[in-house]
Amino acid sequence: MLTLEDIIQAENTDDRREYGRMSPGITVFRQGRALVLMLPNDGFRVLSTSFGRGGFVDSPEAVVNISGMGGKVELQSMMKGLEYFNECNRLYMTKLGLDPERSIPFGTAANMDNASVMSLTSENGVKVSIAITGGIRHNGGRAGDPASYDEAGAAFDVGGGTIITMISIDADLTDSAMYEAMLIAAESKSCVIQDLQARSLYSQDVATGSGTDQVAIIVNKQSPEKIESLDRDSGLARAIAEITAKGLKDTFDRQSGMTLETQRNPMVMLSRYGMDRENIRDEIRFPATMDELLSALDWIEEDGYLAIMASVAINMEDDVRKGLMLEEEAVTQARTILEKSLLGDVTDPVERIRLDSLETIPEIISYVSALTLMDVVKRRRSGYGQ
Amino acid sequence: MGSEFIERSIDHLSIRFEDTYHDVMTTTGQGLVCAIGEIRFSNESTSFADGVLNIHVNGDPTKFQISDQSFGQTFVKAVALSDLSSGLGRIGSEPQEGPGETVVIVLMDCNMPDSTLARAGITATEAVTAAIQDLGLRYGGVRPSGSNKQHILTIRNRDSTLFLNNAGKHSKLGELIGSTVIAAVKDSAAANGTDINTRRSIVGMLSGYGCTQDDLQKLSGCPDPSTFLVKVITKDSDYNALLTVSAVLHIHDNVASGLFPEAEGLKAAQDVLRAGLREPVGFGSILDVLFNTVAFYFMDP
Repeated sequence: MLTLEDIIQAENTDDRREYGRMSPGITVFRQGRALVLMLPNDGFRVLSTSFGRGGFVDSPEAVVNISGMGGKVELQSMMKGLEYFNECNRLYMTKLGLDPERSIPFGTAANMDNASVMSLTSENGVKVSIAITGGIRHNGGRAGDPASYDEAGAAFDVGGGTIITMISIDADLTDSAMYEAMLIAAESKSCVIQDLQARSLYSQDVATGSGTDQVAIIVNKQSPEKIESLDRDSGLARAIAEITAKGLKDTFDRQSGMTLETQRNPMVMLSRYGMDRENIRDEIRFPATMDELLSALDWIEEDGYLAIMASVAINMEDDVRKGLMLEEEAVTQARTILEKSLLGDVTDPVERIRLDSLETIPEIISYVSALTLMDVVKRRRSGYGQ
Repeated sequence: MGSEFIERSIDHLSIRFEDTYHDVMTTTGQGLVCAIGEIRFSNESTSFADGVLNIHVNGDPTKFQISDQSFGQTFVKAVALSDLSSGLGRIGSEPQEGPGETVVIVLMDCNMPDSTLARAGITATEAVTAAIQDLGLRYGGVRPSGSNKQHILTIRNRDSTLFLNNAGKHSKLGELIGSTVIAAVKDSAAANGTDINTRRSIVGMLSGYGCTQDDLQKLSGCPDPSTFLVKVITKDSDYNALLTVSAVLHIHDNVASGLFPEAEGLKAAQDVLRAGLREPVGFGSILDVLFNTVAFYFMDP
């Protein structure tokens, strides 16, 4: 059986090339499946969540983000557990020409060509850089969501769709400040995901991250800039938050095409409550051809106004789920708002009685979506809304 | 969890570890502290000596709340003090003024490497953000992601025979961290006067966007504050109006983040107001139209 070790042995990794620069003096290389942050000297300290060499590490040679192999080989390697995963990473780092005892590895499904590398200077003059990869379409999750992986009784699992954030700060931070920097980066990530209204795949909520995010904070112990504690509204904290947000948005776009524009889609909004094109088509027996329906659905997905109204609709259900309203209080008003905003007054007696009989907001959303789809088909037939 | 003693009094909360070996990773200035004996939260200054970590909190230590959960052998307890009535912040943005704070202690009754202890802090941080999002809080029109004064402490039990490497949300340990932190933060916030019912007020919702009752009175044209107050009291918690105002604010939030274009957002907001509250009043931004419309709604017969 083909193993990950076999593939590593067969891989050509003689392609090291500069991909970017991070402050202070860190060169970022692309090589094989890896993104290598090569530290220029021994004066660095890293706090990371790496499985292979995590925690606080002094004088590492490199911080390395490695794309998985994908497919059956990757799945089988995960089933072999964390030690095997770490051993393969050590093997791969040796292949890259790095000292595996002095390198900090991360693993992800993302392709390193989609890494975002950028820098900025904080308002108090500290240079901050980021190298980040990630996607959450297939692994978005919210803190507290039900998890399926019981490590106490199962094999290793790194999951698919991981955000790997590597931040360098040209200052000498205490360990406490490094930990704070790590948490600030995590919080900024959650803000970006909220802006995108990207969903959790494990609940009906907006995600706060992916299930398996990892972070490294790299600081320059030789810097004359000493930072004892990191206030959350300090210039450096803001710089960390800002560069995380910028880098994450950029790499989401590169890796999975997730942007504010692509999220501005009614079907993307409704997917948070499990609604999709099939469900909506199943609500009513449309007197339309399949071509007409599919074409109308395509048209709907481009409609910004419908995206907003879909978002409004799910916000109403969120208000119920979060306890702001009781469902019986909210359902009538939700029906009124969605009907009048999207359909005008429903006068067809069957549609009327069906709409009035619905008892939950998701049911109303689904039925109103179907009637909206029918309305689009009719308008397109009449030549309006082409 | 059985391996620590939690004592809460009028002036402090103490977590003591006796007979077992615990380490803490903290943002309070000490970093990673091994073999911690006691963590004590009070209004006294933060300090560390003789295995005792004293941590200053602004708030009332009696309002610390505890949530614990387990799955199989995995036990997690979250202890939180969270005053979300002021001092909120969206990381990277100008914070709100005020003494509000959030302090979260995550006690994990298992051993783990330093990397996992740090990763637990990430999951706990996301859980604080999730709790605040659930409560729908706002300040100056901003969606907060935490308290401006916020500390996270993650604690492992070095004597446990259970050794875990994963504290991400996909793992059971991560799930327990997330759900206990969310519960403890919400419970403590409620003890400090902030819960979901805080939002069951139109005036309360709008105050998060910088619009006060006085502003609404002026916009309404009503010359007498007491007359306007009577109108507000009658209609402020009307659930049809609440749902509508919440929907329009949701549109505004997502226009502000760039998810929706402003012109389409304004049209949708006007349509929602027309369907759910009354004919919209005023021109300008979504908030301008909303504030004017709500002011007139209060004065409608």
